[in-house]
Amino acid sequence: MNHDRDDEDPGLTRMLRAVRAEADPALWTRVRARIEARRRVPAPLAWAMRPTALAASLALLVASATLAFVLSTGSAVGTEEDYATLTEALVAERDAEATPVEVEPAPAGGAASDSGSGM
Amino acid sequence: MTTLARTMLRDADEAADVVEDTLLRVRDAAPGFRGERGLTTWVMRIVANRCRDLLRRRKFTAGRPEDFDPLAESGLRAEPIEGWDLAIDQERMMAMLERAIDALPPDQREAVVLRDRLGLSYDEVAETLGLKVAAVKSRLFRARTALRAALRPLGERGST
Repeated sequence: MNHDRDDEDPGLTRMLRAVRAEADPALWTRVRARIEARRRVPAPLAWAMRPTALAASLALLVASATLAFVLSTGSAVGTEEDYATLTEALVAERDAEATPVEVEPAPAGGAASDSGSGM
Repeated sequence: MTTLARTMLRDADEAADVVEDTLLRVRDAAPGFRGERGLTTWVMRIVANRCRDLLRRRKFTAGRPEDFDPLAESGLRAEPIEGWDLAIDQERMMAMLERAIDALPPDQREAVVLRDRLGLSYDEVAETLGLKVAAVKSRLFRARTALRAALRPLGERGST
């Protein structure tokens, strides 16, 4: 179908053009009032209240909060073994203190005993 | 501006807000306006974009009541048409036309309002809507076909 032709319908156009918006006498008064209200707000505050500025500061806040969270949890995790509860952690710590550390004596002569060379 | 906003939104208060916002935006942007586009198309584009945003948000609101009167609700007024066929009730026909416009998809509605109601040229409509002239003509063709179909029953009754 070719829509590229001019299919204007004079009757339809006449009806469509007969409808108009009635003039709103208060429109300019309202616009002027809004302009005046904006003038009263200090410029830096008006700038900070712009949607873009608000969105940017919100994004910055979320990013810094996330970074702070990651850094704080990152420093706490990984220094010790993970335990499910505090009790487990305390028990594990006590056991570690009670168990004597066994040090293997160093082999004499430096040769392995089961090397089979002496037989 | 007001006619476009009211026809698109069918709500006089919302349309007033759109026009006010547009005027403030025009005032703010006026120093940077270099006239590459026509002033009318620039202003109409702002209105059309704001209306589209509002209509998109309105998808999630309740539908219109059955006795909705598009002309009265939107604050639009129909002038008497010269040489009107007296056999056809003009008021009823206009109400029917407005309902048919209301039923059009927003992209077709804005094209019809800009071209047929406000009398912008095809180039101006294309510039306002950011389309090619062929695309505007295509939308207008579909919109006019739908409007003619919606008005046919009343026209046939008037002619018999």
